[in-house]
Amino acid sequence: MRLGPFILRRIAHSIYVLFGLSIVIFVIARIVPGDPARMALGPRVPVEIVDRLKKQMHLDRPVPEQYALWVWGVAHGDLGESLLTRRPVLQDIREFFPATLELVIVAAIFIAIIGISLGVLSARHANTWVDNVVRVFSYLGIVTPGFAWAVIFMLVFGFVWQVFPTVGRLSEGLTAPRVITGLMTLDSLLAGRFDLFLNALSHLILPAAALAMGPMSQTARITRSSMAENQGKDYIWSMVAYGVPERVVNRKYLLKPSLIPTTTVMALDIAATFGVAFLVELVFNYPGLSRYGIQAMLNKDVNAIVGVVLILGVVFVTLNIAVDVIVAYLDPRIRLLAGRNK
Amino acid sequence: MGEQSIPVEASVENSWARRRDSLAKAWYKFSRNRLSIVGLAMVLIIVFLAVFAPYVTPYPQHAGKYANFKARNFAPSAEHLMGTDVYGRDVLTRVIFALGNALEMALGVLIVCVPIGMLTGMLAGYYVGTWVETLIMRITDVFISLPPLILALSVAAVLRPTLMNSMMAVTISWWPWYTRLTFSLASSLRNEYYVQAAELTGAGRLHILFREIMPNCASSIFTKMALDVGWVILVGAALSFVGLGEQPPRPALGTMVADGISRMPDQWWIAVFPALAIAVIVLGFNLFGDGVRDMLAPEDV
Repeated sequence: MRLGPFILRRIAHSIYVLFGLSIVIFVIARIVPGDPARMALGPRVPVEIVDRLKKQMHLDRPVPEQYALWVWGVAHGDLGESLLTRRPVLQDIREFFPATLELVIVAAIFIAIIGISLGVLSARHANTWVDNVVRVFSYLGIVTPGFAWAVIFMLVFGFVWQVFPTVGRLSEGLTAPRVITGLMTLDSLLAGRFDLFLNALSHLILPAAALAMGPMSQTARITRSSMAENQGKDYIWSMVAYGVPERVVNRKYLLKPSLIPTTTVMALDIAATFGVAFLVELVFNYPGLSRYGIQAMLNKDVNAIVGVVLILGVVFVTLNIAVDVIVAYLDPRIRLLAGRNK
Repeated sequence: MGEQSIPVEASVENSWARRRDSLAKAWYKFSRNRLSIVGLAMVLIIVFLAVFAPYVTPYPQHAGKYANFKARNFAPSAEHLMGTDVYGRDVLTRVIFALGNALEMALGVLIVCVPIGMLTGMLAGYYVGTWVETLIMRITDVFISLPPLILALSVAAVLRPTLMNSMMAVTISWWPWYTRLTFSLASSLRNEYYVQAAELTGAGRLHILFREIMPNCASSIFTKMALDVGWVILVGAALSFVGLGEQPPRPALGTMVADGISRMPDQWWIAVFPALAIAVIVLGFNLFGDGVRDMLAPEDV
């Protein structure tokens, strides 16, 4: 199977998945909590006003019709109004999503660079003290939850050694640059304010590091084990026997195929950091989508919950496609297999 | 009669000896990695503390509604090994009581997830290529399209925050992973000779599913369960951390961390010890799970 049809099939499948997800989320959000209109307005508001809001939200129609109306709205970019902020959910998401995206991007950079380097280091020095240190470190990284790292980093680097700020996206007293991309660091650079860029970046370091610890450790472990596995393969020995320099063998013939499992696991882990971000943003009081989502959840703001989860679903599914395509590109066998099955 | 009883007894003795032998072998495989023993010890200690919390904790009354503002925010000392919180409650006591809630949650989730996952996975694996497989696996695809934490959070959000409901929330996001695991095992097992032999001799479908396929899935499932206890506790802690789990005054590790954050850095012990407790639990079950995997893995020749 060539890459083109492979990608098309993958996209078709994920459209189906998103459709299914929208039903699941909708059912959870509409059926379980009782009366969202009453919850939004509080117990003291008269019945007529609650009824009016119900009508406005189509809550008086049967559920399948509600779903159809909702999908129709989503298709036109209308996710409804947040009961909490009284603004369209889409507008809220547009405002808060870039902040979380920025955080996850910085975390992803940590994960990829440090995780792979640690894995390579560990594999190159297999069964020495270097290897053992990396392994213990990655075990700790995996078992400690992201929000616990957030607490620990905050304590150590925010309070004991006051190297990094611990709250928000910019220090107090600084005005944010004009919003162009929504990414504070990029906007600062576009505005030509290098000082703002550094300030915004320093605010990202601790939360991003807390997010990165788990996936980074996982990446290091996978890289190490797949390199160790490939090290014994015949084609590596034959390259060595041909007299190819060790450095070239390591980089070109050992690292590249070893990175295939790493890519898969790493990308899924990076996608999952959107979930952990829910907690880490709370610790650092970072105004991102996840903090918005938590507020929505705590206040049973149904439209906002559905919107946030759906957006995250889109992100997750897109990343999944990207991984599959990258892996299929790196490893032709997968493409062939996919073609044979159908 | 007398003559016949001898071989029977011998075979009973024999089976006992064999069982002892296989136990010894299992322990040998489990204990080959010393970290597995550490994990086992950690798990046993955690379970012991959780079960006997009212007897081993220094201040059992601090687990519930209790306040003593004269003793608030004491730093760790001999009397309060992990200090006291804003209400003057002993943090160590509350951590130990929270272990019980955490384990209860993990058991509750796994007891529901594993049978559902195994049954759907086996059906999909046995009827691979038919509409049964398509139906089951496409449904799991939908539930797997979000990280478990996000799905669990959104389900917990619309329910009332109780331990039971957070169990349900985690269960909804967790079962498909068991379906997937069982499916991948069952779909390859169904082509094994012994399954085909059973089919040829006219065994019923139930026999094949439950007597031929299920026992051979068990070892992978057990391994995953041992590891998952830690992960479920982690997600549960995350739920209570944001306030969607067990409600105060009942102790939950996540809630304790969340409460402690506002007290950073001066009263660091309120947040740090519960956070460490979570890490220790997950580490313990991880090491233990690795040992279980070694124990149940087929012998490498």
